[in-house]
Amino acid sequence: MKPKFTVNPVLIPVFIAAVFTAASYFAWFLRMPTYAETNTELIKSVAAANFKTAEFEVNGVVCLGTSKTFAKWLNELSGILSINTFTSDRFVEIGYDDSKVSADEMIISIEREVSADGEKLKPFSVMRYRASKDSEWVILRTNKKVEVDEL
Amino acid sequence: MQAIRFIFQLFFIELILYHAVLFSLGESYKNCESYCPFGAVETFALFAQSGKFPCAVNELNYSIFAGVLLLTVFFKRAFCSWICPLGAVNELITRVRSYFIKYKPLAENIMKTLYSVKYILLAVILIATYRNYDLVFRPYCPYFTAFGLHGHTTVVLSYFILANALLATLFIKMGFCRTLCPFGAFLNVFNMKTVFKIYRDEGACVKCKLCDGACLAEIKVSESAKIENAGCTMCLSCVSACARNGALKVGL
Repeated sequence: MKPKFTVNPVLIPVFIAAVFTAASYFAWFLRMPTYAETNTELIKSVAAANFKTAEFEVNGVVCLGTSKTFAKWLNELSGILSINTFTSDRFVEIGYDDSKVSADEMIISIEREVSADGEKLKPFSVMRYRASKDSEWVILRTNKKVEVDEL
Repeated sequence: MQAIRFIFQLFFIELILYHAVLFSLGESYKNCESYCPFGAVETFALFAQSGKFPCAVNELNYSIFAGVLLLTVFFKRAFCSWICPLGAVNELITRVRSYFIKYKPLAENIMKTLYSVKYILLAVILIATYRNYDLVFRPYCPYFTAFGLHGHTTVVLSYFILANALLATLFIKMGFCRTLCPFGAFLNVFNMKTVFKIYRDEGACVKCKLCDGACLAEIKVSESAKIENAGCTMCLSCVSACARNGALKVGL
């Protein structure tokens, strides 16, 4: 049986290369938060000058479950307005009212120790952060293999 | 063409190992599972339900999965023979074993029974992942065990399963890929009617059956006018082995 249209088999590797380049670009372009929450009521009541967005690279934010725990702990602080976690690169964006809470207070809350079955666990470690989009990055740790305990 | 395919297989193995090493050195958060399209298959129902990426799956898994689906629609399961690192390891075992002792095809009814194992595995994995809201089979995944460089969920049983998966290939040609791989089972759904397939020109064919011997999926190429068999992975071994140039062609 003869095909209606013949193609050079070289088309296969070319197609693979094109599709996978496109897929990598697409993943970067469509960066979606794993977990997102926004307190719109609270945002309305905050003065624009006090609204800041901090960015953290947090080792331990690996999935939806850990993102939810992370958000729960952070929400214990007052002044947290929004939380977006990106597990693919362990990034977290936190909208906050800087008259009520500071980046240092957030780090203390994030890096807390918890007890489970008599063992002390530290599930999250902040690698670096910046208190707002226009401030400098503060590097706390560099090795991404830094030990964190699984929840 | 086979040389280009081996270069592609080697490239993807190196890419995965490079990221696994970076991950184990603490230089990167991405490891072998960050590039696994099967993660997207496992969690698709959960993603569709909640609109959120479940477990440790993210946009990279889903975009690679979309790329693999597109590739399959056009060129059958080319992912298995051109990209999959575990497929490459299986092919290596198959070729080494064939070099020393030729495979004898098993009886058709036995093979049919064995083929169904991967579909059962796929169903069990999908149901268990959905019910537990977690990648519950990750510790037992041969790909994660082989290329995760002793990842955090790897246990003794993981190595036992990997060893058995590779042992299957010693007894059956491409044994793991053809009888156990759940991702292969999933791709088979799209593999029957693809845009391009291999055609055999009966006028040019001399029935030397070299293509049958070369086929990694043990498809009887010399008896088909066009290869619509779900097992075909477009490795083009048959095209390369063909004694009559032009008797086997990739076409529409």
